[in-house]
Amino acid sequence: MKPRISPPSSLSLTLSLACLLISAAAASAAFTIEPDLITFFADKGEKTAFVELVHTGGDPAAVQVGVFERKLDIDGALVKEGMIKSSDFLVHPAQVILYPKERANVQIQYKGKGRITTEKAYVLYSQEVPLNVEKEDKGDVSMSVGMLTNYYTVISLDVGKPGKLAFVSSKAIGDGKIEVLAENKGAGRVKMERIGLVVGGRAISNFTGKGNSIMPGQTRRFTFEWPRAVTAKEVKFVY
Amino acid sequence: MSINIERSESGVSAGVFAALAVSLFFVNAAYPLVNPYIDDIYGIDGIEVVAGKRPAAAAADEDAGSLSLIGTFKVYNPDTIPFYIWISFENGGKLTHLRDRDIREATTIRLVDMELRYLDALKRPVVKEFPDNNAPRVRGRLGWTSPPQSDSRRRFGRKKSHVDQSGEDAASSVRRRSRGAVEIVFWQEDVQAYYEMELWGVLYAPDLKKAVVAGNYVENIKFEIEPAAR
Repeated sequence: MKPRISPPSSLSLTLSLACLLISAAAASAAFTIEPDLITFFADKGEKTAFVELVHTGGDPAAVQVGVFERKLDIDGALVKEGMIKSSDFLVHPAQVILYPKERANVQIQYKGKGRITTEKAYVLYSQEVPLNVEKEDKGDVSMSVGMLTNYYTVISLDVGKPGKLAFVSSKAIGDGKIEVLAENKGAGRVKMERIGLVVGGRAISNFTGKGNSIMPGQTRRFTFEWPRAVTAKEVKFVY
Repeated sequence: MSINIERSESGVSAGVFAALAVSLFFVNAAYPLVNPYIDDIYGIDGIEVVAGKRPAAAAADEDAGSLSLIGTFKVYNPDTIPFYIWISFENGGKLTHLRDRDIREATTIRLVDMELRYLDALKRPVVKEFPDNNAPRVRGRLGWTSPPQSDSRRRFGRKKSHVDQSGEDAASSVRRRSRGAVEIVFWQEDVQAYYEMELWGVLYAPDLKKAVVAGNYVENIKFEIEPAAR
């Protein structure tokens, strides 16, 4: 049942026209993080990297940095809900106040134990923390909407080995489309930048599942238009 | 290289340019890419509050002017890398009353009907509505009614001011996620070096007299950026 919205009463109309402290727009803080990808060459024994937090505009920004486990769903999208903080890294400093035009280096140190034999990825989450600056109390009402910026940066532990995609299964999913599941059975990632699908000798240009690289041991779902489910012999992954 | 320099002027240019091209190629290959980042964020510090039952004109939204500009920002992507941007509320859109620095009390004032507006790569206006952020429940004579659904907004002509999303490039899509976040993917041909974006919505209080006492009312909107294909 659709709601009926009745005309406002005179009281609510009066209130609805009340303007509360319309004032000039306020600039929020803005920052960025460089680089866009942090790579530890684990096969060469690299254990330390630096990222740079850069203030790009507005007010001072309080930024909190932490490393989390990285989980991708079957379509390759980052699972943001319930990310678990990783104990494999030390971040110093973990909190930074960035003043206008300032840059700050943050050290990321890998302290995980054991030899790394397969490529692994983590998420460096840089989160702007709201600074609740108390306004002068004049007994009036002030309403404001703050804007906060956060970044997800990938940390990669590279072992210098290639990935290897293998066909797992295929089925029809309706609307003339099928899905193909593939697993990375190699020790390195399968990069999505150059991935291609060839089915029955025909190159497929429009398919889903390209969101992020496929890490070792992960399964990825590709969907595309095709009249029927396919077999392993009919599918070729190009990367 | 030195042989080229001695031989002829044209040889110098060709040799030097070749060397420069090779060195630039390797510098480029080794140089880290710059993250897409947000800058020039402006939030409106005082916003008109719509109180009581929402005015029929606002609910029907026949004129898009019933929405207020909540904030503006720019997204820079100098290396034009594909990326995701998620926009969500810190407190589900409800404003908290801030007093004595750290004490935050929940209120019934909330941001509704939020939408993000920007121009796509072909300079076509695009509107992305926040999911599950429709006009709030209103109390009818027979008790609570269900919140308006998106098709009711369409019936009221809300979509008149919107771009037809069915013709949108498949590369740029919105997927709904939990907690009312809007997700936009800027992928390959849709990715640009620069975007200007605007957030529009309604600041709504069911009962302004009861809801508002002196003080600061705050809600934060989070922008989250993740480079894609990593």
